[in-house]
Amino acid sequence: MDHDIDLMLKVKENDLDAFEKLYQHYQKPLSNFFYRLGCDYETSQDYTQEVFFRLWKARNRYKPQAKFTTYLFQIAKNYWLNQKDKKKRRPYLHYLYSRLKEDQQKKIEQLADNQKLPEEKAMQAELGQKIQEAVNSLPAKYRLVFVLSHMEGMRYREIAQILDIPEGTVKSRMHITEQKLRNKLARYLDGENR
Amino acid sequence: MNCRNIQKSLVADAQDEVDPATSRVIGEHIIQCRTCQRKKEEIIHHLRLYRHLPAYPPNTNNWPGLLSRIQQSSERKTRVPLYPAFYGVGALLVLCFFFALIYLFTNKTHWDLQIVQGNLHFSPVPPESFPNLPISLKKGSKLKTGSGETAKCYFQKNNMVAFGGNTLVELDTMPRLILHKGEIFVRSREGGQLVIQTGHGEIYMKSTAFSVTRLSHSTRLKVYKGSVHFRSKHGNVIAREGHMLTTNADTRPTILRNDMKQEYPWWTEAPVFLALRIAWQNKSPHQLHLNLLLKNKSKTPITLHPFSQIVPRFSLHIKNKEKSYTIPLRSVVISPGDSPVEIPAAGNYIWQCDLSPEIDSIGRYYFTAIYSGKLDKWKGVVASPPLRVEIK
Repeated sequence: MDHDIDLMLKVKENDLDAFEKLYQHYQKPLSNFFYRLGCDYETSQDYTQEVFFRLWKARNRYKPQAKFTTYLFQIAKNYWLNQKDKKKRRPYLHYLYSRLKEDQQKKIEQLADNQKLPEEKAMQAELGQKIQEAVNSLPAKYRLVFVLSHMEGMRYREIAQILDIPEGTVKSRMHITEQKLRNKLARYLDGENR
Repeated sequence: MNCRNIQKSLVADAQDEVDPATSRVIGEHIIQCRTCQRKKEEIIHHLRLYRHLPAYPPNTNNWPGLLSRIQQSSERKTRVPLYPAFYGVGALLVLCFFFALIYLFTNKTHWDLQIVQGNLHFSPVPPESFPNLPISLKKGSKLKTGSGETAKCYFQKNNMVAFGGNTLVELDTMPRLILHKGEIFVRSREGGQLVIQTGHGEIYMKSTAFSVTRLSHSTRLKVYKGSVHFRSKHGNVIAREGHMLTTNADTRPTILRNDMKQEYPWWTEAPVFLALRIAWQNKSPHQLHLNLLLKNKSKTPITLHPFSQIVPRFSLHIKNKEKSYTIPLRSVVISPGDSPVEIPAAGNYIWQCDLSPEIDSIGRYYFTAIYSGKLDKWKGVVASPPLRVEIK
């Protein structure tokens, strides 16, 4: 049996140590997942904590039917989609909130890049920013497929389980996503080719 | 497979997500098709581009925060859940409590009454009414005196009300008395409060002395001390000390006199005052001696013949939780003797009584001395305040 499933079965019996192990192992991938989906750093951290809190609350309903990551990312995906809907319903509040966090976010990104050379840093920062902007402009269903595949390195079968769609749909969505992103990032692709 | 289908699978192929057979077909097609070959190269290059995404900042360990949330939620779980039904029951209890408070404070229906002199006729008749022992009367009870009778009692301890002859008073919601007919004299101590209602208006008083006479067509008020507030539908008047006021159903209250002499009605005060005190007490065997004090309040000497009467003028009322009875005072007096007693003006006299034969069980006893007779112009009954004795 999968080691994570083993831990989760212990969590089901209220084992907090096992839960901490799961948390320490998956908090970074999960934060990264939210971050790549377009959340800022603080929000990613908050969402991660919320997902783990929900995981704890729903521990009694857990059944080891699939990989633990599938179960975890299903919760994460649902939570992200819910929050996205809430943002649509209350855009002004979220606008104010994002403005408040903007400065913090910039400082954090500066800290992450402080090891690199200035020129390389500038180029990569610009490219990275453009890619992230392009990803963020994708519709949610394509963004989810793209992030789970490229950023989390998940197989199509697992993505299909998380998103509850057929594997063929994942494949076609990946194809469409790649086309959309290629169109948006055409200028940079040309530059790289030259 | 044509170029279109091949190109649809190129991303999956680049990510190693196609089955080996399809991968082989794609590989064979690309060798022959220059367009699809270029497309695949673009895709591979494109996928490499995503490596330039900004690095995710270092993660902060939020485990303590999460742990605290988990612990808080488990604490919350142990509390009794508050379902809507609980809220309903809670609201109902609060309402009941609220109405109970209103009932207690605004709609008191029981009056504490203590008759200290004279005789009152009750309607309905209470279970027991002995002089100087407090009784509880319900709202709606009627108290009356017959022609030539007088009575004096205390309402709620602080309000002395003396009834003139042929007077009828009804107890309303405390502190309201309804004077239907006759005359009452009211003297209130500090903290006392009464409202006297007649058909012609209401008299609000506090710590004062006055008398109210209800005549057939009017009400007459005399204020001896302090002031009272007279309210009627035709107007309000504050009547002060020395004022005599009259009103009827059709006119505003009118002050007839403002120089009334400070004399209380003759029937309000008995010329003697009785009081009982413990002289000495022994526990085993139970022995109890009481002193009966007589005080002459009049300005002339009075002579009493306590023991020579066939019908006893002086008596002693005894009450405990088992029984309640009256004995002639002469049966318990041990000193000074059975000769007539003369008490000078404003003087005192003391008899000592042996109550030991009456003590047959332990518990709480009440003793009241009563005099019934005629003294000078006064005729009636006077009783001492009840003396409470604990026999242990």
